Amino acid sequence: MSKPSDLVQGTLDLLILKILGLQPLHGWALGQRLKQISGEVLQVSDGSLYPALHKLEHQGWIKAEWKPTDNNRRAKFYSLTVLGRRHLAREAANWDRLSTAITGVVRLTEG
Amino acid sequence: MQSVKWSLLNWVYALPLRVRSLLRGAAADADADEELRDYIERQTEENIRRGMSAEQARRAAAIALGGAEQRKQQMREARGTRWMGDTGRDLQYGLRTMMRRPGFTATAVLMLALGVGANTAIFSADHAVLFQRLPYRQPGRLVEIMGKSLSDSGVNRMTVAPANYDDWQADTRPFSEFAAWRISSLNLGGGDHPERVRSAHISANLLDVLGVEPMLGRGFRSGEDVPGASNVAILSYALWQRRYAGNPDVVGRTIRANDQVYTVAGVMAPDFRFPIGWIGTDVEIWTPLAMSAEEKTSRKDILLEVVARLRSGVTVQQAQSSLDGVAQQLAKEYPETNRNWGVNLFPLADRGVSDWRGLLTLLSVAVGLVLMIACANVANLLLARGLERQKELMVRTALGARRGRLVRQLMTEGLLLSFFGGLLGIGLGFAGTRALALAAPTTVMPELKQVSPDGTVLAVALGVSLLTGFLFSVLPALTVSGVSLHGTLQESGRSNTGGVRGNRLKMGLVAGEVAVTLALLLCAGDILNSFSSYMRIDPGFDAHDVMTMRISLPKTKYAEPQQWTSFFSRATEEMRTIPGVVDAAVGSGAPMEDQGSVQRFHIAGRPLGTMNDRSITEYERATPNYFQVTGIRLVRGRGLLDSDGERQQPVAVVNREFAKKQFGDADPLGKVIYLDGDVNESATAKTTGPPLTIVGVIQDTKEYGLFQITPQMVFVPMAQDPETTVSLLVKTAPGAGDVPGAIRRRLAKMDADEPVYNARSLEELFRDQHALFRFNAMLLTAFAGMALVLSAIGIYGVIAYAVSQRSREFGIRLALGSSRQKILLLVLRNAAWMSAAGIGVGLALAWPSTQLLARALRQSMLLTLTRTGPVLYPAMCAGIALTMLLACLIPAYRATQADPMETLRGD
Repeated sequence: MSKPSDLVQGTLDLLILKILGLQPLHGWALGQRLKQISGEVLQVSDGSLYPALHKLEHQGWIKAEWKPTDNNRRAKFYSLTVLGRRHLAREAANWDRLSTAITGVVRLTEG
Repeated sequence: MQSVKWSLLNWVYALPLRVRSLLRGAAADADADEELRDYIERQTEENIRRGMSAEQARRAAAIALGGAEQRKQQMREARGTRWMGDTGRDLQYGLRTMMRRPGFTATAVLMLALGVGANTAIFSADHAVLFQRLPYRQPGRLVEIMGKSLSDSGVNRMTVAPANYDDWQADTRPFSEFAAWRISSLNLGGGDHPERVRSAHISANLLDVLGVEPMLGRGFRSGEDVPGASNVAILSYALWQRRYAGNPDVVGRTIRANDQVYTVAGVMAPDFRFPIGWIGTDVEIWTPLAMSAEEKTSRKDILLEVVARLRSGVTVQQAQSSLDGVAQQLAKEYPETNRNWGVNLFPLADRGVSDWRGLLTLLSVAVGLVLMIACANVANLLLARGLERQKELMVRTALGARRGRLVRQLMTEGLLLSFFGGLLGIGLGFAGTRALALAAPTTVMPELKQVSPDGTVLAVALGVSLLTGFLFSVLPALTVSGVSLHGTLQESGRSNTGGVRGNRLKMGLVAGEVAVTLALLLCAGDILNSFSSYMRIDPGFDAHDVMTMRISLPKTKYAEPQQWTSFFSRATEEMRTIPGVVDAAVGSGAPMEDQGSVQRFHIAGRPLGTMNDRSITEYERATPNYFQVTGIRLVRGRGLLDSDGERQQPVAVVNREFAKKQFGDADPLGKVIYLDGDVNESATAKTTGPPLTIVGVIQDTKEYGLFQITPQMVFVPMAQDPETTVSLLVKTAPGAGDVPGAIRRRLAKMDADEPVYNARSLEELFRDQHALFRFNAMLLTAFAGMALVLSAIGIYGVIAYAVSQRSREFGIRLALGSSRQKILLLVLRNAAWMSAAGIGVGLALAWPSTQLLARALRQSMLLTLTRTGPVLYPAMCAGIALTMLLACLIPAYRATQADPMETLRGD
């Protein structure tokens, strides 16, 4: 329930890490950015972002900080840690290998 | 590998977060709350921007989030602290359960504490005595070599003749080095007060063989242990501190000992002790072993104690058999002296310890049994609690609790209980160890002086208590899952008699406790009985109001025997004038002081036989009123008289044992005996003495101690065979003041250099004799008492539980017309069964356990156990049965008070 069924296991984490790697964001903005980048292809419910963020935080890959935002409000901003950056690099490489392989297989059967 | 490292790093990195969310779960929740609120607000604004109404916008935002509470729970789980949170809740819950049943909790905790505490104390003592590490290099390779009689006299720890020691040293295959020593004592003069200290003459290489060096200065050099070499001495740390104020300059300086000048060569480190296992005070000064050429070549004079270092890889058995060969060879070469004498090797670490092993093992077993009973009781209590809560557990299972979760919670409770029990037990263990060190008879077990709680022992005792808590709290939880939910819910609602399975286990445990308790009680009864029968032994002398103290005159200052005699007679006169002193005498030693010598002798007209019990006698000198002062009665002839002077006919007074052994029913008076020299001293130093005419017979005394054999004894007048080291004995009026102090002052006036030492009352000596016995009897009785109380609690717990379980049944029985007496009998019958089974097994255990006790007593104290036999056994059984029944009375009475209306209406 917490993870969208059409996302490969662990993909959400990778997406979050990648986006946060570009710039620190708070939860709501992260959701917006995700939809925007993936062009609504990836259906990630906003609610499922938060447990994922907390999990990543407790794994030590991202850190959170309350910061003031527009019109006197505060929001919890997440950013990558050094460890998170390494993890992202590793996971991204894995993803590349995996998707290349899958693409290859898929094309093979089609062709 | 890499990923393991990274995940570990991650874990460490996130640790503060985890700790924070664990400790401040509420704060983390609030944080999540705010974050979600922030989302809702932003999404609402966004929705409004897209043209929704305010209410629609908020609703849509909430839907997008998908249930704030669910999200928060997910976030909580994502924080990864659920496990810790659960444990925290288990602990909280466990603590609350404990508080809710203070009686149960206190009983369980106290019982465990008692068991753990007592075990810690006793096993720490064991450890201190049995497993002490000798302060030497590779102590495991050090052995002691002693003479062993191959005839049936049973002597297996005889000191060694120097020539034999010399020949042994040729056996270099198993041994790398040999050293020898001899105990002695010295008068330290100079300074404010003279002092008598225990000393040892040691061969120059002894410290090398032990592998130790002095803390200050040097050891002895070879060549220093020959007669005529300059006198050198090594001091113990304690003596150095006490007498020389820890001044390092003392090395190289001279001190006066036995009226001679010694140069201090070195000071030993504080932990150095040698010999170890010597009963009595520690040696505080070491001097070289300087034997004359005559002594060195003697095979008759058993002067030496020998230590040797085994080569690496050689076992004691191998060394023993190798040296056996040498001894056999010597026996062939020197049949006159060496026939029937072999050698005996002992690990040095065993010295003085092996004797206590049996006794300590016995006490350890006893105290271990107490712990077992305590654990069995706690197990029973936990089982009862578990069964009692079966319904609660069922309800929780029905509400969705997983089995693992229930097990964990019960386990937490059990562990909490045993943790507190263990904690309190550690406290008790510390206190008990202190108490033990204070109560222990340190004259016979000096190791107990420094006994401290042992870490390993504590850990083991704690472990046992935790294991009990663990096992018996988990058991009920596991049985829960075995029973069908439906059935149990029904049973606890309607069943009237409670589960049979749990009861059988509990009753078995209690029966076991009763059995062990009875066995312990019988042992305690036996030892107390033996103790009191030994206490009734007539020592043959009157210890009341008699003081004894030692004094030694140096022969360098008092060269002539007449000088000794006159010094002591003046001293006696002086003492008689002290207020409170009734009478005074001088003798070789007071009864039980073990100061006389053992002499060979023969009767005029009979040849000098081989050395055996019959041909050696305890030999003592005494002034005429010695017998009056010590209250030793004369049974025939006359005592020693003032007229038995130096030039008069030499006379002797013998004891009854002597008269009986030597002359049977014939009249010993007028018979003549010859002494043939001290069995321990050089035969060359003394030849056959003058003819001694027996003029009197005294009653037998327990010269060697209450529990020892009565030796043959010969007393001669001090004036006819003077000596320099004697005991001063004074009979005081009851309640006299500081007599030893007064005596010391008077004697200091006569000669300020010669110390009075070992001042003790005969009553004290008497008490020391059975200190160890009393100590053991006391401990064993205490343990048996603890076992009894614990078993009573155990049976009470089981019956009380059974009664509470069956109150419905009793109510129904009463309602159907059963009488209250019948209910009472019903309950007591259960208790009777448990007691009877326990007593039966206990009686069966009694025989082997008292057998063990008897052996341990024989080994450690040469005591025979007086069996309590037919009187005490039934009494003990009846006593234990009565205690058990009494323990059941309260719950049984409660059962009869069951109100039929109340119980039928219940549920």
